[in-house]
Amino acid sequence: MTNLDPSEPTESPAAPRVRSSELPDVEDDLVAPAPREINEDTPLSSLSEAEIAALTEKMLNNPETRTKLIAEITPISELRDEYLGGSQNFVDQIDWLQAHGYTQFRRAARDGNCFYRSVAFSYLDRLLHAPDIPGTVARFREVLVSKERGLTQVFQEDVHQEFSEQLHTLMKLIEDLGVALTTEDLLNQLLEVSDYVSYFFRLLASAEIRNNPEPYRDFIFDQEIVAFCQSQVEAVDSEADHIPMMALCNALRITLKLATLSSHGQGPVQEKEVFTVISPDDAMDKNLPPILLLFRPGHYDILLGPK
Amino acid sequence: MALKRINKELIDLGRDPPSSCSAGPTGDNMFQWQATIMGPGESPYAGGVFFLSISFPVDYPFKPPKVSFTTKIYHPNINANGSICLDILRDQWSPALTISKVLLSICSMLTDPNPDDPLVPDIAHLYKTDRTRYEATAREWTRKYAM
Repeated sequence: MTNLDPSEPTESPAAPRVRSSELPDVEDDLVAPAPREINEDTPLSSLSEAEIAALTEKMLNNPETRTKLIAEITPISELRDEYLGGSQNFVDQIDWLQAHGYTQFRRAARDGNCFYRSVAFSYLDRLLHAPDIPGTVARFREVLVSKERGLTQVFQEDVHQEFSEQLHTLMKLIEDLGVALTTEDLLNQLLEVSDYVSYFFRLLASAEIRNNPEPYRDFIFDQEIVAFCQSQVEAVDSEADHIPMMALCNALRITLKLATLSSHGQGPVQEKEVFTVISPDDAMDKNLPPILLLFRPGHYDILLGPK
Repeated sequence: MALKRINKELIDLGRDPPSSCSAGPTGDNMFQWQATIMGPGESPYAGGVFFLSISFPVDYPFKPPKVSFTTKIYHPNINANGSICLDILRDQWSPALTISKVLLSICSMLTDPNPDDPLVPDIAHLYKTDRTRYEATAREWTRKYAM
């Protein structure tokens, strides 16, 4: 992906080169090194592939790391600080958001799932804050169940069930506990299974495109529909562009309001430049606030609306 | 969560075992399995029993399992370390796939090698240019290492 984030260097430094004469002599009969303790002082360059794999495994098993998949509420001014010294357009757009009451956000991890995971959290959190929780959950569930029937036509057997059941479990939890469940409890429950829910959303978006390709066909230039869906939607690390985004909104029948920070733009910031609203005709969330995301080139976070 | 999926796959394998393959954990560690594949009848691997090692990543099924042959095998898409060049074990992996489906793909790869995406170019070249010699060597290796 093109690096458009002005907070990061645009050119990677030249790779260091080592002359073979500088390398130590290697003995022919190498023995495997004994396991050693790795701490903050261990030079990163000394880590073997096996050690890196072990550290990765340890990190993934650590609940502390998991909570970072969707972080706590953060003032958007923190983001502004990151862009100072970068593109003035980004700073102006953040100022515009702040002035219009969008003062907070939650960071999503940059692992390719940021869009799907952010939608999953907002989708559920919105149910939790709906005026009529049981009624709203029931309506959303009805749509999901009808879409799942469409999934079995596209994908063999019932491969999606393992993934959809995690979303249904969370919706049941919201239905049963209602306001006794806090947003943070919900977030913690979601983060346990967010890979599953994200993947279910990928399947939903993919099936939507495959079952009803017309609105998307003209945006898919150089690939067959199925190949596009497999490589750009279903593949677990593939970032979502506007095609799966539209497809997921159509599948879930939800309204998405996307604030875009971009390095383009001249003159004063205008609302229509900042916000894009995707709202299917048959959206069934018109009585609820839209799902709000913050998009920067290559990444989505969750934006919090005016109080 | 990965453990739940791995357990489910183990139960499904027991209930509905694929023909000519088997798989299960080697010990107490559910993330480390061993599998066997019977050489397909229509291939030079017929009569051989091939062992494979399977290790599941902690974020399985969102990352592919690592699968490699522990029995030596002469094949254009399998190298001397037993590494397998198979798209579904790399970029074509999908969380909807299972070990059972992976093993079946490996079986069909034994019958129909893919010489256009080889891991061992020399074997792929032989497969394309002198099929009889490739088959003779593969049969010889099967007799020597897998029987």
